[in-house]
Amino acid sequence: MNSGKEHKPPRLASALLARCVPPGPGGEAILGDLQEGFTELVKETDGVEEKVRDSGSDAGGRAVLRKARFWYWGQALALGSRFLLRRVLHVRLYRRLAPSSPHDGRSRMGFIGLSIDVKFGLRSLLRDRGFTAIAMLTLALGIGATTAIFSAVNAVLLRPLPYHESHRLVSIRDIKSPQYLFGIQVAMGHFVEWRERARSFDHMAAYVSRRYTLTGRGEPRRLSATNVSAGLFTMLGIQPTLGRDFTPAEDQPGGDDVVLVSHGLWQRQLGEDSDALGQTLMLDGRPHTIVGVLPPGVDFPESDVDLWTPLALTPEQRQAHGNHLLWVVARLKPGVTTAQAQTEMDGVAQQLEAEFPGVNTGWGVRIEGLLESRVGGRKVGLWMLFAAVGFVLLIACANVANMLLVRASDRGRELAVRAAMGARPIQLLRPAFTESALLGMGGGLLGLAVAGAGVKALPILFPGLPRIQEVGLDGATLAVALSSGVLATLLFGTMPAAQALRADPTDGLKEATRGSSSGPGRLKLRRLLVVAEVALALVLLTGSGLMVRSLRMLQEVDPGFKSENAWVTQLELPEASYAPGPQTADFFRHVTQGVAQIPGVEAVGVAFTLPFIRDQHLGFVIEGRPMPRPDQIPTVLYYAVSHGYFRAIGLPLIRGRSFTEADREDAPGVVIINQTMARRFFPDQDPIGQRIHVSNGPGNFREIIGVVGDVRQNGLDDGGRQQVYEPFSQQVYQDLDMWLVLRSESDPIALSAAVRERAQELEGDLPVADLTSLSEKVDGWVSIRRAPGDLLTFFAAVALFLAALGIYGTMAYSVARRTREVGIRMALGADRSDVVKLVFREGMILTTTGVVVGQVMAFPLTRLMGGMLFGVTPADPATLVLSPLILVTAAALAILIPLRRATRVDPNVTLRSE
Amino acid sequence: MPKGKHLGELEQMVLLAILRLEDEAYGLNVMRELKERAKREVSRGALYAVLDRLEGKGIVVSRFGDPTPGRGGKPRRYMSVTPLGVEALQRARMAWHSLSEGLGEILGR
Repeated sequence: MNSGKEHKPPRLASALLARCVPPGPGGEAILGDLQEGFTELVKETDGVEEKVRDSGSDAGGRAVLRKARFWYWGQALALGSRFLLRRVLHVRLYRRLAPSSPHDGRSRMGFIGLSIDVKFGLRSLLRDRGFTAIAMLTLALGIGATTAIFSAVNAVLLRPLPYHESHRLVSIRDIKSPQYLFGIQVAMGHFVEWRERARSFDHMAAYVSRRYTLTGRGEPRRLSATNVSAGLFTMLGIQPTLGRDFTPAEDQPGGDDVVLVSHGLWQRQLGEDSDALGQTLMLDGRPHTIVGVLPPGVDFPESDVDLWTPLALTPEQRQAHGNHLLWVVARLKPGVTTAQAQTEMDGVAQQLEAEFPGVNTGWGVRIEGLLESRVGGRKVGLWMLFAAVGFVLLIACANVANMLLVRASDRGRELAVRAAMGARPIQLLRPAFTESALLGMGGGLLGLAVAGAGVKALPILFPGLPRIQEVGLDGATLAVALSSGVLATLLFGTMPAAQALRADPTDGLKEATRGSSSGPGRLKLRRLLVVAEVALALVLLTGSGLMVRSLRMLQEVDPGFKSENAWVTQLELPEASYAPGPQTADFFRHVTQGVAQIPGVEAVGVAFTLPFIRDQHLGFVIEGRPMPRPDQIPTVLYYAVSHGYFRAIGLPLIRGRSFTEADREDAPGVVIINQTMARRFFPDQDPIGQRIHVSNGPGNFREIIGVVGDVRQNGLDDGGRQQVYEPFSQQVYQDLDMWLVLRSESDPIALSAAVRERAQELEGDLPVADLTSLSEKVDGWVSIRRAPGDLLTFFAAVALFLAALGIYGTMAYSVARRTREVGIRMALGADRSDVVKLVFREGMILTTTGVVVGQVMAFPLTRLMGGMLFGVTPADPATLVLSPLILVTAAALAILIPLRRATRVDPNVTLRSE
Repeated sequence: MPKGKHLGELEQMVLLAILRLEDEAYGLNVMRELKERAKREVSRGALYAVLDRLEGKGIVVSRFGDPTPGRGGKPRRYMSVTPLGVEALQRARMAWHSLSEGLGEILGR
């Protein structure tokens, strides 16, 4: 903070206010006045801050700034609510409902009649504090939850990506039926050919993530990087803050020793130096010249990328149609639709199939919007939650409407008298409407607070959800909060109001003298509301029941390996000093030998792929069987592992033998397969001794020497895959980065240090991250799936509570209204049990009607959840029986209290009071 | 005299402040003037309501200035008192004078 810098007032507060003040320059001037006041306040604080900074502390200055922002919030809220009140009530209600109101001849400001109504409404709400508190909290909960979930829906699914004209950006993937229906990365040759042939796009770019070791600037560090083709950032509309995007010449082998750095890296490693351009960074031992610094917040392709280097495909890579490595994004030409581009690319794929048969046989192209491709599978869950909170809001509204109906009937006599004296309908209607509007707004404001808290919790609840960090309360969210407030007002305000209008004053007067205060119509409406509440609550209960059952099923699944006490870390050798081959194999062999000697380590191994972390799919053929057509080659999950891997990860050997130290490069080729593969491909014969060839490399068949258990590779729901293991030293493509797995009960911190020491004895500059536990990966996977279920359960619980409250309220009211009837019945000799039956039956009829309606509603709705469920169908009998049971039990409990009251009726007292 | 022509106390104060401020009479300054001279702290909402009301009665008119820095590019709304407003003030002053005449002992000089 320095005094030259202009401080902006809190954005949310000014956005809020801007929506409340009248549109046009008049409103602008009001905002301006407030901002000027704020600027002045900050200037005063800057004076203070100057002094504080001299004394060596910044905290004082920040505190005063905080005070100024707090002040702004207070002013904005006070002003905003005033204007809002004026606008919502004055314009909406008065202009429309009372066109001939005497106020109209007066100035715009003359809303004396209204302010009387507001004062009257406020006073009556304040009188019934209990009612007001419950009604507002109910609404606040409904509105707050709706707003919070909507803000997630908005940020994740609706808000455009932060790129120039992002609706024209598409993601393009290779697809192949049936294994890769949803698309995988693109073969490098495909990208090159597409770019030359396709006419639908302004520009097409490719990228692939990788990592570099940065040396020569303090401790060696691993940086996450992305190789991008030239023009990618220009296509996205991202302008470097310093320097420029890569040129086509730099996207060629030999010219590619240039780098674009992220704003974060520029700050951390380059000290925000504006002379950073032209400096060099040593990446994997090669100097790279900095040609640009990107603006803060660039998260392409994901957040936390430190730098970008050119893709620079080699001539061989440009012709490679086999390895699918690249992610491709493109910008559609203006006016071209995704479907048109898809049609064109289908044609291109057919050309490629004809020109490069074999390797391209069966491969197609899938184009979808970039946003769509990023949020993909998370869509259903979010919309489901949004629907769920919508239901909670509806139930909350029904409840409040119910409460207002009671109040309206308490006021029945007053209204009847006023109507009898000639009050016009509008005059009868106004107070009730004003009151519900006030409740709605109060609930909306409180709901905003609830939403604010909820939004903070979202990233914790949904770790790993794309863009969840961007969630915040913004204009759109505020609009939803306010409109749900208004909607709620309309929903629960019109009902009592309509009742008030329809009431025949003479009835009211008659009833009034009889000491009862409610017509049959009103009770019918209340019952209808309760039935609706019960039905909605049942839908939520059913949905959450399914989710809970599905999660339970998932958690009982055995992943196939023992994640407890299994620790992993990634070892990435620098490209500059290592080449894939025997040298690399030696390194990993020595590392495992070294780590095995650490006290407390029971087993250790290395692997290129690991369950829940990284996978690799390859095709394979079996010796002696007819060669399948190229597009029908079966695929396996492929694992290159060291001999200690199976023990380290806790994967049991079922038959045959495991790999040993002797299965090296020069020994005969061997593989181990899993049970599913043995069952599927060798159903009637012993797989041991058979020979298969996994397509990664030239055709040499290797002998199957053992069978191990199945591993759930990409999640607990990922079962039934065929899997093949090879000794890592025998695999043809050796990789420079491998995962180290070890099994130990020792302290992970000490273990990490020991592992790092062993690895750096062999390779001094090798960065080694701390060990992470494999259980954590599995738990993390579960917890991501858990969040929507947990939230849904919470909403269902709220719905259940609100519905029970509704039943209670209606029954209590009904009992109170029938005290006389019960008294007479009892005086005439009715048993207490008869009374119990009477009341209980009424309550249960309401509940079961609601349950039946709810079941009918739940049926199509839960069907939509099908894709999110594991091991449970939407027609799960346990859920379909249990949910109504829970609801009926809750209803019975809710009836109990009014029931007791009914049985305590003393006929003498009741009859005497008449 | 129609009721609308009577000025409330706050209305009078606001009009006087506007007259004193001459060309610099916009919302924030009026607030300051009221605070400094009349020791009267008035909420923004109340002030804007009064200004709107006065404008509705034709007692003040407003114009918008150019957007200025320090205000996020928002214009100022400058107010000035119309002859009708001056007349209303004069009436109020006369009423005050004639009613307070001879009360010097109680009200002080």
